[in-house]
Amino acid sequence: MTNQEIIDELKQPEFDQALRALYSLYFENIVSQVVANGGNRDDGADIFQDAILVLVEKVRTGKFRGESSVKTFLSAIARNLWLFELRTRDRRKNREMSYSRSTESGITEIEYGLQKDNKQYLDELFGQIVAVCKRILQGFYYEEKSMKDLLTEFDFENEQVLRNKKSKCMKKVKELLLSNKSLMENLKPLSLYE
Amino acid sequence: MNNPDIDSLLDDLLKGSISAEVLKKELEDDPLINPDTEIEAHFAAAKAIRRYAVVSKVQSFHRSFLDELSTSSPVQPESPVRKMDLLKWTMRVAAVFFIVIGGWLAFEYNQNSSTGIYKEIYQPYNLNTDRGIGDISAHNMVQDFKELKFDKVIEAFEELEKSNQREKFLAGYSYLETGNFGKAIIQFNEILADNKEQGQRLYNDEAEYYLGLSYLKLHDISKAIDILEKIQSNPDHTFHEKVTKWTLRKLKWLN
Repeated sequence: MTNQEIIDELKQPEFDQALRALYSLYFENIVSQVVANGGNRDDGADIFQDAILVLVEKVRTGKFRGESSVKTFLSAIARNLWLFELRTRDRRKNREMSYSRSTESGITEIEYGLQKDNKQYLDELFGQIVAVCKRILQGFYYEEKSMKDLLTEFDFENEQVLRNKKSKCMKKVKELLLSNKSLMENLKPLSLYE
Repeated sequence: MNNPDIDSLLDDLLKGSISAEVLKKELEDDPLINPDTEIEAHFAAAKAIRRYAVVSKVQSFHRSFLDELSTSSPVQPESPVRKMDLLKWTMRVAAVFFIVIGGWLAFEYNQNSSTGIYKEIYQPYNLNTDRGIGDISAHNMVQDFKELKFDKVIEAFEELEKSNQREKFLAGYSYLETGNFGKAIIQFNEILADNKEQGQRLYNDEAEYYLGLSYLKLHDISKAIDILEKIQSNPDHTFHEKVTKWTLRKLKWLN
């Protein structure tokens, strides 16, 4: 896959092919980069996953359009994620204040922190949502399927029953979000995907 | 307005189908609803759902990739083991090769040794095929011979003051069968000499053939070759088929 094909697919609901290409092309490079800078392979794998999440976020919000190569972008992201991680570990030891500063990839440490925190918050939040709700909500808001299409995937009597169920599911998500001020604040500056 | 209807309006706003003003106007009649809060929560929920979907997909793929890597990664860390396996495999192949080759060489050596060739071309003499020239009534050599009592044949022969070609042959063969190869050679040579002298061929083929075998037993390869070449070059020889060119070639290697 070319860089442009990878970028184009990352905008789609299903992007396994792009992930496969990214992992096969760049995983070992990034892991080696982290290992060469004091990390281990597990650290490298974690950093690569986070770098991929940053890339997908940037592509979906239209902030990465392929001006630099995916490899260069991932490498810069990974380097800064790792530096951020090292500083975070160091701060944990020294109880230092953290300062936000710009990085080569145009992402601040606060953004890295938010990215990492958001991932954790989202896991916790959706861990409290039943599977059928997650499927309905993802089908509607992420895959952008119509209620009519969704009705064929679920065992509901009619579209209105499904609509009611979706509304209940959404209400639960909103309640959990409103109870998590940090996540709400973190989500505010983020744009909806393009 | 119930929640599903409000959600539908919020979804329309999310999709850009309606403006925030239109939505707020629709909700203004319900004093329990704060439109701004509803919009903020709905947008935050939509962002959370979308990002969670992406995170889930990447995490899921990541796990699968690491699983694949862990099942295939023994290739790298265990490459020395692989090399050991390869080395073992190579050694095993080499061992099998040497066993096979060694076995073949041992077999060939055994076959190519005079003893081996003896076994290869040896054919027991069957007295039923004897071209009888009259029985020997003074002793029991024929019957003893048929009964494979070679010692008795020899005993009877050695008591004879004078022997004919048949007696010499039975004696020579009996010497051969009992390991008296020198004496066997003497008897077979006498037969050949007598035949040559008298211009006859009584027991001539048998004498030549078993003479050759006797030489093999004594590891006298040169003399064995001489006599066996004679048999091999004569298609009419009684034992021609027993001696092949390959037999002679192997004997020459031994010589």
